[in-house]
Amino acid sequence: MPSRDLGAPLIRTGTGILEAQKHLLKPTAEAVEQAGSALERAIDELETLGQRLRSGEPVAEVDQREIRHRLGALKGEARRLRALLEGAAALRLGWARVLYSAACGYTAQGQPRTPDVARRVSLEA
Amino acid sequence: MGLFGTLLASTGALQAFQKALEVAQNNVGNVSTPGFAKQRMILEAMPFQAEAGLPGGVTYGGVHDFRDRYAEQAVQRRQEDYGLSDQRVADLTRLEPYFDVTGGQGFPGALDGFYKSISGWSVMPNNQVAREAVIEQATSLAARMVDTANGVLNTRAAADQEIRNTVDTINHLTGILRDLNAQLRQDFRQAEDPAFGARLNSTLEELAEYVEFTTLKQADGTTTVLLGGQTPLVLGDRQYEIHADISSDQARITDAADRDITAQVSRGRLGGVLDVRNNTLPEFLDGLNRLAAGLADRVNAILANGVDLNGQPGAALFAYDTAENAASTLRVTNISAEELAGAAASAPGGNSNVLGLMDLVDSPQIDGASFTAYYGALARNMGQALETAQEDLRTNEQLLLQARTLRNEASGVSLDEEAVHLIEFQRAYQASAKLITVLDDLTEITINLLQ
Repeated sequence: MPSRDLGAPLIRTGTGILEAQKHLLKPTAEAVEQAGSALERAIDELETLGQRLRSGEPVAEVDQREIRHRLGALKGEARRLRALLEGAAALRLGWARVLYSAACGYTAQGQPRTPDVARRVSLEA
Repeated sequence: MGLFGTLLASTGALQAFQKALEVAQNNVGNVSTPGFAKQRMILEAMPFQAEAGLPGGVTYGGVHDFRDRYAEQAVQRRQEDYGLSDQRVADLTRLEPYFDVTGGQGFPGALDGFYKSISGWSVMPNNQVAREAVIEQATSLAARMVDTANGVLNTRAAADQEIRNTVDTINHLTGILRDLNAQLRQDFRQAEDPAFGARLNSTLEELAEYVEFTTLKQADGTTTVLLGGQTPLVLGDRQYEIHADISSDQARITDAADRDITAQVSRGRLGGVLDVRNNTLPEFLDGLNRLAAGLADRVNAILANGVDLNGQPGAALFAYDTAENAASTLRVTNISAEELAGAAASAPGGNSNVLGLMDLVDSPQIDGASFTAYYGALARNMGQALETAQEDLRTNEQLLLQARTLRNEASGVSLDEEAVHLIEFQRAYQASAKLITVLDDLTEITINLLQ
């Protein structure tokens, strides 16, 4: 465990990534937006850590190893995050293709025709 | 419309709402039933024409379930990926202990002990105890190599059994699907029974964990199941069993007509165990055989160049049957301590031949690596393969959960809603994808700051 000051931003970055992952388990636009907010917080924490390292703050050799190890683990979590985001997109787009083609047919190019929603107005009270 | 007509309309409505209540109760009761899809009752308006005596009102118009075939298939595809990675983790976890590099145990410890005994021999080339220590350590080294190779072979035997069990499970599940199709042919109204739908879909979901397949809904309502999209497993009320053939080096899966369909199986538990059995295990076994044969040949060649304590040409220390099973048959010959050739022919009684053996410690022997480094690379590959499989498993567990969430939400979605959601989704997706890239880059930059 690196010194408390340096370990805290790492823990908060990890928490942000895990929170984003949790949101992405639900493949909806709202959930993906919430994942984005959690990711922004994780990035802020990581930037704080980077600034402190750039400022020349002394870091013990044992802490360096630990931080490197934890950052490696974070990269793994980020890979999983990307897989979840791609998975959400694939599910959502696939479903939309099925719905669109069933309701609106296909274009001349064989693509599902998308419903015309641009000119619709909806009011919510 | 008279009183009688009004009463008729009210009675119809009451009956319809009673039916709706039953449907709702059935939904609640089956909330945990595998494969069950929520149902909704359709209410149909009755013609209303007072002067003609048509009382209007509503009547029961059948039951519609919310099953979304796309969402069901998405779950099945994720289930295939989950089965594949879970099986790989199980098989590689079984193999990992044989490639342990921690501590002084196993083959690396024995190789180290062998090199140390040679080092001791080099200091006292004519000492009987030092010579006997070399034979003792060589025996231990050969035994550890045989242990490791047998570990891989035992894992292969376990994988063979796993393949047989998995094929049996697949045949059992396709048997259930055949029976369901047969039931449907006897009574087509079963198709509307929610319990029937639940059983069909939970069986398909379970099957997806074991092997990849595609389904086709036939005009008579039956479900055709094709393995890998090609080989029939179920057609109407007929089942086509698959078989496992593990009699040769490469395990094979054959169809009902004994055709080889192994190439069609790449996902699910069967895909996972076949990959480990036919690719991963032979790769490690081949590496161990090269190491065993290389080490034995090199040590024997150096000894053959020297002379023993009696001035006779050096005898072989190691033996094995063939290059293809060198690791599992590696042994020490019946060489005696006096017969170890420690001296060069030109300088009997010296240690120059032992020094040649000492060079083996660091010199490149296989693919440019020393024997120690070559084994280390094998063990590292093993560890990395398991780590990657565990990573994949965690990701696939989450992707399966994600697909199941979509399936649960796939009820009663209107096209308009979906179109609007998709636009919102695309925006959120692009933002999040960018953020993940920033996070990844930033992590890399921070790691570099530490170097």
